[in-house]
Amino acid sequence: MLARGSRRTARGPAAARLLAGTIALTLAVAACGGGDQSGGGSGDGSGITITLEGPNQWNDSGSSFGKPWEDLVAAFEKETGIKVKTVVLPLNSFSQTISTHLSAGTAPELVFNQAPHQPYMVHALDEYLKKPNPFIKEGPGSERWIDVFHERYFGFGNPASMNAEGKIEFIPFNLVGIGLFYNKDAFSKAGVTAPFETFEDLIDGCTKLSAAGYTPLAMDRSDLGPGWTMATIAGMLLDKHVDRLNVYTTDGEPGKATSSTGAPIVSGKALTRAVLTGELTTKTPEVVEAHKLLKRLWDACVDKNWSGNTEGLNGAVVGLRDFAAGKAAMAWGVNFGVSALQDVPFEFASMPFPQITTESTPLANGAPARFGASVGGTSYMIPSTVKGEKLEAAIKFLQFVSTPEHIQPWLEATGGISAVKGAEGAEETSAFAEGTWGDSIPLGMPGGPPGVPGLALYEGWLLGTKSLAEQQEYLQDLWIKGARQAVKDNGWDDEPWAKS
Amino acid sequence: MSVRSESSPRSLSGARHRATRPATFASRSSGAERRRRRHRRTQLVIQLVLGLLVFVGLFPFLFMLITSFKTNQQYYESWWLPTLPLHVENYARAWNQIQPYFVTSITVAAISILGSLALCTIAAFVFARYAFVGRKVLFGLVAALLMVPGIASLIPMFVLMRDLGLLNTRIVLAIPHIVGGAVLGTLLLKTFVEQIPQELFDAARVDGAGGPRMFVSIMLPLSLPVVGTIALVTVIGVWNDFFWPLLTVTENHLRTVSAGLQFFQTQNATEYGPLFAGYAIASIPLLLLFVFLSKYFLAGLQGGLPGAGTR
Amino acid sequence: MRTWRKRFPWYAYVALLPLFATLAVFAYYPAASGIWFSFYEWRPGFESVFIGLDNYRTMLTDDLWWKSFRNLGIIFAFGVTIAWALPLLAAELVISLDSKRAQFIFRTLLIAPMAFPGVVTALLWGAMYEPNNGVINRVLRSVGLETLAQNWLGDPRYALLSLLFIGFPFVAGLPFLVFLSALQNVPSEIFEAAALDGCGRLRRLWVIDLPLMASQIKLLVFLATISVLQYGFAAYLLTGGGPDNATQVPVLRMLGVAFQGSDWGYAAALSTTLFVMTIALSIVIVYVRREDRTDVRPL
Repeated sequence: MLARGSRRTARGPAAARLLAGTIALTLAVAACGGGDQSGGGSGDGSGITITLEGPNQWNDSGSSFGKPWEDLVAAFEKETGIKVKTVVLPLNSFSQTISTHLSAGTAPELVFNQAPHQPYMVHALDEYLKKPNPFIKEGPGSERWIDVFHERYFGFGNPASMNAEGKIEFIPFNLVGIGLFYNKDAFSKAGVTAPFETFEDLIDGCTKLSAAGYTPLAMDRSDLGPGWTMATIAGMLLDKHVDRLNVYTTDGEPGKATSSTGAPIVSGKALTRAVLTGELTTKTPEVVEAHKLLKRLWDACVDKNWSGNTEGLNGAVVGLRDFAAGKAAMAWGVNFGVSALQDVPFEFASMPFPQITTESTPLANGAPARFGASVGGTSYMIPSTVKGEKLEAAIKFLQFVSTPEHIQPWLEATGGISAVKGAEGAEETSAFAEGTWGDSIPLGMPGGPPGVPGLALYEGWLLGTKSLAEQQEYLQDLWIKGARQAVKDNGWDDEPWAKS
Repeated sequence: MSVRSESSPRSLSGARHRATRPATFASRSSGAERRRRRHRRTQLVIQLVLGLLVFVGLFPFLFMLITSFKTNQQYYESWWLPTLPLHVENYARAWNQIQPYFVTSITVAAISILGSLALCTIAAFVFARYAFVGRKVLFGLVAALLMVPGIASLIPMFVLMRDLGLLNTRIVLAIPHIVGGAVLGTLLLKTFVEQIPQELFDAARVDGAGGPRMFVSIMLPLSLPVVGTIALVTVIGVWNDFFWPLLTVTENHLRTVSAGLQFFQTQNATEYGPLFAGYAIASIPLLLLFVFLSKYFLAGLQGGLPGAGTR
Repeated sequence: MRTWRKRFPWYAYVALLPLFATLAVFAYYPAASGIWFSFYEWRPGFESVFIGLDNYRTMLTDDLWWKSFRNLGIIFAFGVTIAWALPLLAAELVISLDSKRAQFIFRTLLIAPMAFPGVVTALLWGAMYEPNNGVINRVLRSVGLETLAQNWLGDPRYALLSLLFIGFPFVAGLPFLVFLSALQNVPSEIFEAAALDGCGRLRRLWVIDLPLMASQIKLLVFLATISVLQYGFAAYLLTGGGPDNATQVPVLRMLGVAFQGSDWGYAAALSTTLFVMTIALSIVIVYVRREDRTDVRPL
């Protein structure tokens, strides 16, 4: 006992000293670990710093959007003396990160707009858009900022530009066009000519491509593949219901809603009403037909193991790995995909989705295939917690990137399509936004309640685990839930059709 | 006794096989020898089965290592054989992408270990060796924390960090792990310390030691195995945590390895080699720590002291 | 006086202060805050509106939420049977080795997979599960068992099991370590006595080993219950709840509501419900344990 005791005493103090020393050292290191709050200013008094947070859509760096972006920011800093810090987020999780920041009220001055949020979390920009853009001295934009944008894609009353409250909350830096990239070498080997004119041509082409050993259409586990395909197909078939269901303007008043180019569209409120009154259900013939055509396409063109693909998502090309490897002959993609594909060993081009004609279904009414070059590319918005000087600085940045001469170099270098008049985008991708393909879809399929991703709406149907009847029941339930949520979110409770 | 009696029926056959041996030894040695041989064979079978389990368990990581040296072409040709030439540049590329995040991860791990140990060792000691009103209740409160799903606390924690001005620091990354480690540590250590025989403490008291002294001189040295366990579990937690760092830290140089791996999937969407090389690199620190601490870790979960026996 | 001091030793409370202060700020407050706000339409950075039990009412009609619990049943069943069989076997085998050195080597090698970050393990298995190029299917095809090659993570029938299979043979984990240490603590006389009585290994397992490990097994069941309710790591990384909601679990539903739906009040309600369930189940299990043997004497 005594011997043990003395050993214990000897060890004790030494251990304590070591422990204390390590603690002190670590605390010192921790204290040096940067003290800047996100969104905090530099505080050095030499100017304002605003922070911009978004995913890297151009390259794979974690710290920079690339040289063209750096140049754009440098030009802005030179012009205004306002510093801009760029925080890069990974594609896999930027959406959750920004969404949390917005919800918690800790988001920086400018955030990427494609993160789920409620309208109250960001500033409405309408008032600013009605005033002049200080960087534009003459021409569109010099009297009202909004005028510099192509109305077809962005403007007051354009459904794609507005949030649920009918306000504009983001500014597009470019437009995104989507289309089908295709492997020219594969097509010629299989004896297929592009572009496809009709849906039947597409199915035909898929059969030939399969026979030649290719996977016709690349696919991964993102929402985009099934989502874009269904949106395009349904957009054509539901066209005949537009007039009947168009009962509310985009401001929520009774009347007809039109897009900024004058074409009729069905506003969010009208769509919600249609779902809740039963005027649009999953048993509506066109909806059923859209499902059938989607399945037909999937069976003919998509690899049967598509749902097990664990490749990780990228925002530029759906099913990038198989397309870039030359295994798949076609892939949905956005114009940014051009840079993702720059090293592929084959020649590629792009084409729009074909039109659905009566050859494929008697319910077709001749509506053209549309998607709409949309403002879903690079767009940023300002959280509502940003006030005062920083708000003004953030607005300035948005005004700067809407100025043709300033945004031009960046667009060219990144393959972007211009959202503003007077700037030419990159040559290769202009086709994504042209012609009828560039018009927006007037009436699309309703979505589910928040928290249910687009993939979940159709996956069972596409995999065959849900029969048509089951899919109809499942989707109808989700539509109703989504519509009820929309009523709650927008305060439409007083409408007669909203009472359940 | 029974050993000999079992062998005697077989002694005749044993004698036949060992004709050269003196008859007096025949009965005992042949039977025993056969049993030894059977025993050795059983041991061999056991080792083979265990070896198989080891292989299957480590296979994915072996696969990762082999593939990390390949280009896509080599991977498609032969998925499991190492192919020459070894493309070491995959590691260079992966290292460049991951390297900024290492310092932070290691620092955060260190802070987390120290913080959680500082808190849980004292608390466990008090819970285990002192009786006072509210002891069971307080301990239950600590255990209850294990059951709270992380998501509900996410926003309040996040807002709290913002209000305290802790965003974009290394401390904010460590705090959830300090809390987690402290809770788990208190649980594990209390059980462990309870099993230390009372006599040791009584003897120390007789020698004039007070509470703190007993803590430092008896409990700490004896509980090193469990401490090692807690340290390892905490570090594993820090290494695996990918969501919180992305949320609370926006400075790129302050991000952790796990957050960096998120960029990885898109960075290397088309190439397996650098992707797996990155995974390998990300695993190295944890592997090293594991090897270093395995002595304590393995002993740690054994609970009681040698000779304490079963309760 | 002396009794009072013995029952309320001030130094004990003081010593516990650092831990509880830290926990109060960084654990209890956020958790309580989450529960509190489940009764609101929670707008964390802004004004929140009190809506009473509305969120809970929504939860009652949320089939996705309730269906996800069905998957938990499968996960739990798997977790306490198949996932323990191999570790138990491994522990018994290791114990049966003669040399301590061999025991140590095998023990270390068997738990080595724990040294790899969970993210890496999940992503590696994800790559192995690739239906067209992944290792598993390639092996099956090359030995002619092509009919067995499945769309592991993409087929609703197999996705959940494939996720559960990650980490096979499950030896590198807590159950193995607990079983092994329990067996190692059994005095060897007991095993010898059993062998002398002619007890075969299997019978010994059933009649002796398992009962001796009863309290450890109860602890494992307790931990398994808690972790099953919070399962979601691999599903989040690899399947996102699909395909066709085959791997949907409550945690993922909660995350979806929070991040995609921005409905933090509802997410808080879901989380509180999970929390209550966890507590309820734990109380049940703890009371089944009953004894709490300690050798604590007031000092």
